[in-house]
This record gives sequence, C-alpha cells and structure tokens, in this order.
Amino acid sequence: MTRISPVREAAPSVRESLKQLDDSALAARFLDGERRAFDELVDRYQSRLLNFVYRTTGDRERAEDLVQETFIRVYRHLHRFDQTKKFSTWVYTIASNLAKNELRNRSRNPLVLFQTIRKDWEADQRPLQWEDNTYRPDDLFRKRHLRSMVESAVEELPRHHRQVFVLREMEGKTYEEIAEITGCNLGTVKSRLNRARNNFAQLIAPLLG
Amino acid sequence: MADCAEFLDRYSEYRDGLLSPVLSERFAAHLDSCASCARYHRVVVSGVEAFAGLPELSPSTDFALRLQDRLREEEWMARRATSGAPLGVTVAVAAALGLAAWLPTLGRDPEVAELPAVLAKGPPPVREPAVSVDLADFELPSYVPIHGGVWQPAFVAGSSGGSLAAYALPLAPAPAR
Repeated sequence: MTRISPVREAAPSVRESLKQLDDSALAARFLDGERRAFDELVDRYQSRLLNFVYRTTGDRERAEDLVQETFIRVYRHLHRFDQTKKFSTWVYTIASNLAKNELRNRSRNPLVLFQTIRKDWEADQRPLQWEDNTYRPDDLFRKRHLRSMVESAVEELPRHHRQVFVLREMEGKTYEEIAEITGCNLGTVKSRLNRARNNFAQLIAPLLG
Repeated sequence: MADCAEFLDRYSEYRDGLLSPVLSERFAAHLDSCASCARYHRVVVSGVEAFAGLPELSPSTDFALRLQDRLREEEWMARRATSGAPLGVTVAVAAALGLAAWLPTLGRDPEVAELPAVLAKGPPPVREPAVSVDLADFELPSYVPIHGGVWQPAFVAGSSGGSLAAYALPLAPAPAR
C-alpha cells in the first residue's frame, strides 16, 4: 500500500492558493513568514522585468543581473513597502532606476560615448513634420526586416524617450504609472512619449506603406 | 477642424484616448481628410504592433538558482545583523582569541637564529680641509658651483678675510682632470 505524505499533498495546494492572491496579499503573506509567497512574486515578474530592462538597456546579460538586483532590493525593503500602493509600480520603479543608472554609467565609458556622439540624433530639434511617401517596397522584404528594424528603432531612441515608450507600448502602463516609475510629471511623460512615437515612426516609415 | 501641427502635437493623447470627446472627433475628422497624418497614424499603429509582437525573452535556465543563492546570502546577512550580540561581548571574544594565539609565546626565550655575516665596504675616506679658517668669518650661501657645475653646499670667505676660498663638503667624488 502506498503511503502519501501529508506534507507532499499540502505543498501543491499552498502554491495553488498563492497563485490566486494579488501582489499586495502575496507581499503580506511573505512578511508573515510564508517564503513561497516571494517565489510566486518572482515567478510573476521575472520575465516582464527582464523584457522591460532589456528593451531599455539593450544588453541581455546585464538585464538579467539588474533584474536579480531588483528582486534583492524588493526582498530587502518589502517590509517598508506601502501596501496601499500598487506593487507593480514599486517594483518597476526599482528596475527603472537600476536601468537608468546602468545607462548613465555606460555613457561615461569613452568607447560608448564615442559611439553615441557619432549618432547625430537630436530628437528635441527635429521638426514634427510628416511627408507623404508613395514608396512601396516589396511586402516580403518589409515583413522580413520589419522586426529587426523595429528593434533597432527602439534601441536608437534617446534613453529618456525609450523608457517611456517601452513602458507604454510594451508594458501597457498608464501615464500616471509611468510618471511614478520614471520620477517625472505627467506633462513630461506626454511630451517624451509623443517625441518617442514621432522618432520611432520616422525610423520605420520606409518599411511600411 | 484640427490642423497637422495640432494633430502631431497632441497625437499621443489622441492615440491613448485622453482627449475630450469633442477634440477626439476633430482629430478623427482630420485623419479622414489629411493623407499625411493618416499615414503617420498608420505607421505608428503598425510599428507598435510589430514591437509588441517581438518574442518575449525568458530568463536563463540558472536564473532562479542564482537568485536563490543571493537571497540565502541576504537572509544570512540579515540574521547576522540582528543577532543581538552586544559590542562588549564581541570585543571580549576577540581579546580572548588574541590571547589564545599569543599565550604559547609567553614565558619562553625566543629562538636565536645564526645568520651568515654580511660583507660591507668600509666608510669613505675623510678629506681634510685645504685651509683652516675661522667659521665666524664665513657666510653661508645655499650653493656654489664646483668642479664642472656640480652644486654643493659650501662656505665662502666673508669680507674680513683675504682671498676668496671655498670649503666644499664632498658629496660625490670630484671628476678626474
């Protein structure tokens, strides 16, 4: 006769019950001593944060380090998190600050600075103009290269614009959330997002009809 | 009706549904009548669709293990920080450990090691001054040149003396003439 360990039977149901909780409830359970609640938070956010940080910094390996660092800081400071606020905004704010520091440190590197100087991109000085273009490239060529063009276009955006663009278009954050995550006011978010979309469109327009 | 400049200036608010219904209608009407702005809108929509459709990255296979290691280390450090051991106890334990390390050496003569002798050159010969002079007659400039421009501290005869003489302290052997 096979004996079923009661502990083994309970474990899946604990994990299942944790999956039903929202982020704030999970945080509360973790602070009460349920360690698996933190594992559940990691499961929920690791991919999303990785994609956000990667699209912001452009470096996949470094993005993983920064996401790990994000979770370490969440672990360290969770007892200070105001549970009336949105947990996702808080964790994205931590990740966003780490990504910003990474980009700032990188821009001080002479090699990277040289490459940055070579790009004569001055988003704020480009006129907001749009000209009709009757060029119609081959559809197959367009589809084949659209993906890489879109990725490159986002990478070429100035970092302040890139961050709000990724938060809005990829992560679906509201303007208020973006303002909180990036530490800017709403007006700045609108302005940066508008410029980011304009710059993005100018880069990919040749491939689209 | 909205014009192109207004449309482009507030495009994001229009796209994200943040305009008032009246303004939103004006912008929609502008899109119907302006091919350029309509194309702009199409490009943004298609581009963002392509961007959102990019394959999502997954963490590497050892991501969870590495994170668990770091969290365990974090836990251990947090426990150490809150262990509650008072400073005095820590100092006493450190002193006891130090004493235990030094105790075996107390009350015992240190070992004497015989080392081989070191050969050294004798001291340089002392040069007698060429002229015996009364030091009260001498001023002390900082340096005077002797023997091909090598500057050395020197005494120079004062005004009460007869001919000018120099007494130089040899710091280096004089070059052969």
